[in-house]
Amino acid sequence: LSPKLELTLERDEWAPGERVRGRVLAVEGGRSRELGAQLCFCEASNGYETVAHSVPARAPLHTGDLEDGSSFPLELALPADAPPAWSGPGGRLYWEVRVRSDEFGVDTKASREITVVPPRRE
Amino acid sequence: VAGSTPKRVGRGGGQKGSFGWGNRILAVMLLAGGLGFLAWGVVDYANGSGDAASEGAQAAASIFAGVFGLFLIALGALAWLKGRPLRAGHYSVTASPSELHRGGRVDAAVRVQDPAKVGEGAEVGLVCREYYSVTKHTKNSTYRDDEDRVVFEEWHALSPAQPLIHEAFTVPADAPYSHDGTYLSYHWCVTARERRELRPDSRTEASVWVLP
Repeated sequence: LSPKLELTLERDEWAPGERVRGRVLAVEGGRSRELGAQLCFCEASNGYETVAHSVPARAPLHTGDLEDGSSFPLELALPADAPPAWSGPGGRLYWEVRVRSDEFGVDTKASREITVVPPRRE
Repeated sequence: VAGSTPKRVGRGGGQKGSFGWGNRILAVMLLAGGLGFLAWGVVDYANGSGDAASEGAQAAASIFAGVFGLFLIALGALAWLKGRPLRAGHYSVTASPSELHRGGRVDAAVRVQDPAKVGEGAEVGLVCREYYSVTKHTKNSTYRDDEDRVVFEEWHALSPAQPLIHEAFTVPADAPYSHDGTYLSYHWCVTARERRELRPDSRTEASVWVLP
């Protein structure tokens, strides 16, 4: 049985260079080889999407099957030169936190978009 | 970058969009075909016909081949110019600084190398072009293509009497920042251009990297 994941973050707004913190809750447990997380800078244009830059967690959040109600802290380093989101007529650029349970068959995923505030300059 | 991926965020994608290989290949094929037809027409016309009865028909065929060759050459030249506008070689442009934040000012230095070639309507500008992916449809298939549009431009008239001209531009604080992506890119540059009637503008440019 595949697990059901819920991703919560301490807040939605983050500054470049900060560590994005939150938790992953296994609302329903299930078979899993590994639970991982990464920060992704994504680009989307007319139905085409890709990750332009990614920052994986230093280590897997968990290895092995997930039990009902189990919860795992996550911490990801937002790059110091992380650009803020941008939305133009042809597409948009944005950051999101993605978690993935590596399973036999289709992986279970959860994601949450975050707001990166523009860098402060003197 | 404080992460495991060494490259800087938003740099090093594959999308350039400034010169599609399709246009380049099409232009070369049309130019080669056009030159072939033109050469055939000229050689055929020069050799003439030994038979007086068919001389008129052969001359007509030669002229048709020559005209058709010129038509293909013109199409090839248009395909080439569509992908790559003429370079205004009598100008050189430099941007200082070449990397700046939004809200910052960039100085465009335009050096007029050959004042005799300078035409009317010369301008220097700061331009941001957005490259984005779209799905296109043919009768039997769909495919991805890149299109582009100008999302910011500001132009100042050039006074070509001076050999070195400095023009300052401000990158708006709410403008897009530079991004080299796969499906979406924003390229900034300072450009000197000459507007020309019924022909593509000639231009020369220098890239600028705009940080958030």
